Amino acid sequence: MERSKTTKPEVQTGITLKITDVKTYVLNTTSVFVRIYTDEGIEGVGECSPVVQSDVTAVYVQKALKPKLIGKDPLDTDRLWDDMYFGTFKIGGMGAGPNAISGVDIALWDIKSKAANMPLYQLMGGATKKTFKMYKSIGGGARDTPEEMRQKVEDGYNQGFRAFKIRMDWQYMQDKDLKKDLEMFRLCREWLPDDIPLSFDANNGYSVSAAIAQGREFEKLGIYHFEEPVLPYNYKGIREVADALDVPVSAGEQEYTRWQFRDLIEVARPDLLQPDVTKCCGITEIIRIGAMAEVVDMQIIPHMTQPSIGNAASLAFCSTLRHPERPHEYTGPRSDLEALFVDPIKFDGTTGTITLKDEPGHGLVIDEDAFKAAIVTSYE
Amino acid sequence: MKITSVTATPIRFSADNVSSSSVPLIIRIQTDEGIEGVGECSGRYWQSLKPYIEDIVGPLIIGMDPRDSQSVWDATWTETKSLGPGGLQSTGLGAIDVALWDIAGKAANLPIYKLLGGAARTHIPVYWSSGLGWQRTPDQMLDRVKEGWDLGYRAFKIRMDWGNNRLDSNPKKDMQLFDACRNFLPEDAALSFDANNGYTVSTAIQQGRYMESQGLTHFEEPLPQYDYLGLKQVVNALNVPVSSGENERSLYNFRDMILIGDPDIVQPDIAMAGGITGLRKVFTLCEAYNKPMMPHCPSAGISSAASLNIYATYQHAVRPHEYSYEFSGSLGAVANLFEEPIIPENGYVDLPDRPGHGLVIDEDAFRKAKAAF
Repeated sequence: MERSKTTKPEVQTGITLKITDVKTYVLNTTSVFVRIYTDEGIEGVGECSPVVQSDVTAVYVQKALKPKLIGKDPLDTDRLWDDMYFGTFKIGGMGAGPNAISGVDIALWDIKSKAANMPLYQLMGGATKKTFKMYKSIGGGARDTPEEMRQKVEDGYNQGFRAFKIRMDWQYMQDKDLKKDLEMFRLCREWLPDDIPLSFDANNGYSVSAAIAQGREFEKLGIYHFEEPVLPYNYKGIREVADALDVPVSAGEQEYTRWQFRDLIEVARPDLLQPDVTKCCGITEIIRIGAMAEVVDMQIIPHMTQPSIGNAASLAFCSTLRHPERPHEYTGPRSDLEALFVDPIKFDGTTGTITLKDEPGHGLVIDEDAFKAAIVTSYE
Repeated sequence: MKITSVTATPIRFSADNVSSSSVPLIIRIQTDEGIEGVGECSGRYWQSLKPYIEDIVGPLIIGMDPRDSQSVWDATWTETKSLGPGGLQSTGLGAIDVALWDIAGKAANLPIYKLLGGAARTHIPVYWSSGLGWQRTPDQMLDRVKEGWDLGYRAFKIRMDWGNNRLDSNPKKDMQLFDACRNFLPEDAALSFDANNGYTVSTAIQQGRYMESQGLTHFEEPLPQYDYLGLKQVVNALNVPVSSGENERSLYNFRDMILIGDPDIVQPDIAMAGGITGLRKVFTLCEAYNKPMMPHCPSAGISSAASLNIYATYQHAVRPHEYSYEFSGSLGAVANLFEEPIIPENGYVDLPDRPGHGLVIDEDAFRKAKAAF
């Protein structure tokens, strides 16, 4: 290679970009997408967790965050994060605020990696792997019969999934039907081949002692991880369960910042941490949460129920972790979501995996016609 | 993009009267696209560092994409851990990481601070740091402080450089040095004191108590660096912020230092604590535990520019950043080494918006500095 002074780029002042517009859309897929536009024509798109009331999140983006973004440089992701989080802290340190910030932050990183001409995972430090085994995450356990859930597991197996989690979705109900949960897990476990991981998510539905008793039974049958056994704010209770059981106990989908993860790690000490990039204040913050996990040698298995942009961003983050060995959550391929993108990221049913794309950004580009048709409400 | 070569070159400026053990070791990483990245580590024991970087780490990373800085870290940290994460290894890998981020910035045509998340400020206060107090008279130390004062600095630190093998050797003389500098400086000029690991717990508390009464900005490394429990005693006893961290080499050391020693200020050194990749995680830890950071950085060259690039991205990083030429050659010589130097004026550094860390080597000056070695 010839050595020359090509190290000095022609443009000496770096790139300057300005945010010109921010628009948020609630779609008929129940998704909330944030689109950010710049004066250089580079556009970014992000996704917020749509939990419960999508319009509240959309309004939060438009009314609380957008004024802090217009005219600013989208590459200054830390600066904008500080402005968004601390600037709106009193109306949303947890919940809607972080959900909204997440969608904006993902869109900003999409812009930044396009401006830097790198795939998102490379801008975050480089991928240790790009193909991920996905586990099929199936909810509705509280409503379904054990046989109905078993059938859904069978359907997932036939789609090509080779790892599973069943979710009870008990939410605020506690110890409602322990026997049925156990029977449901047993049926699914016995139907699946022994080498296929099956995890169980109580969705906060157990008391501490019930969680330990159930966990012991799951252990006998063969469980891969035991998710959110008790209420999310009961850190000491999580610790009791995690200490008592052999199976890895996970928590974190209800934690929103590095400071909450600090306390979760120190007080609750779960075995696995589960930040959700569409909830925890975006890529900027999930990188920090990743560092917190690395400090204490805890593994991360992200929470992710949005099989589109959220999933792409979450996998990009996972690819930069040193040990992303456990399968990643996936609620399954959806044609309505795939239709929204020019070249969607596809689940490979022959291997049960998803492979990250190498294009700059998170790799998902909106198909304008399909997008327009999917809009329920535009917030512009 | 692929890494094609990795070199480590000790340099010396012939005009400088510095010993060969404290010259910088310059890391240069070339790529197949003609973009070069430059890093620097302290040249102490360069005879060991050079073969580590060129013969051991080089072959591990040639062919990798230089922008995959985390992947490069993962490929080298564990593979070479038996060489010692407490010293040589982290020093070499930190400098390489800085060179990689330099390449990533140039490839994206962005300053490193922009790649990281944007600068909270590019006009950054620095403090004048003067060492070797253990062998200096009060007047000699005062002359060093006056040199900084005349250059426009208004924040200072004097270092005793005792080390943990000469504990409590001459605490009284240390206070004479401190008094000479404190009496010269106006009250509103910051003066900090660095024991460089030279005290036992009770001596540290007594010295700290005296300096508090005279006006002390921060008290650095009062104890041997591995005495986390003692550090906590000193921190709890004194009002003045007590700092530590320049001797911590990995994220895990910082975790233990923060959780056990609980210093008021955390001081990672970019060349020793893992480069940009390492510092980003250490700073995250500082934020999570609400600890102010003040990077350790006794270099006026590439390490300084890289450290300032990441320091600039933290909203709460309002304390002055360390500045000293003692481990990099005189200010004039350092300025000559680069096409466009980054030299403080009136106690402030203005970070340029040039791509990478902003320093590009001047080949003529580099050739001379290499030959002078």
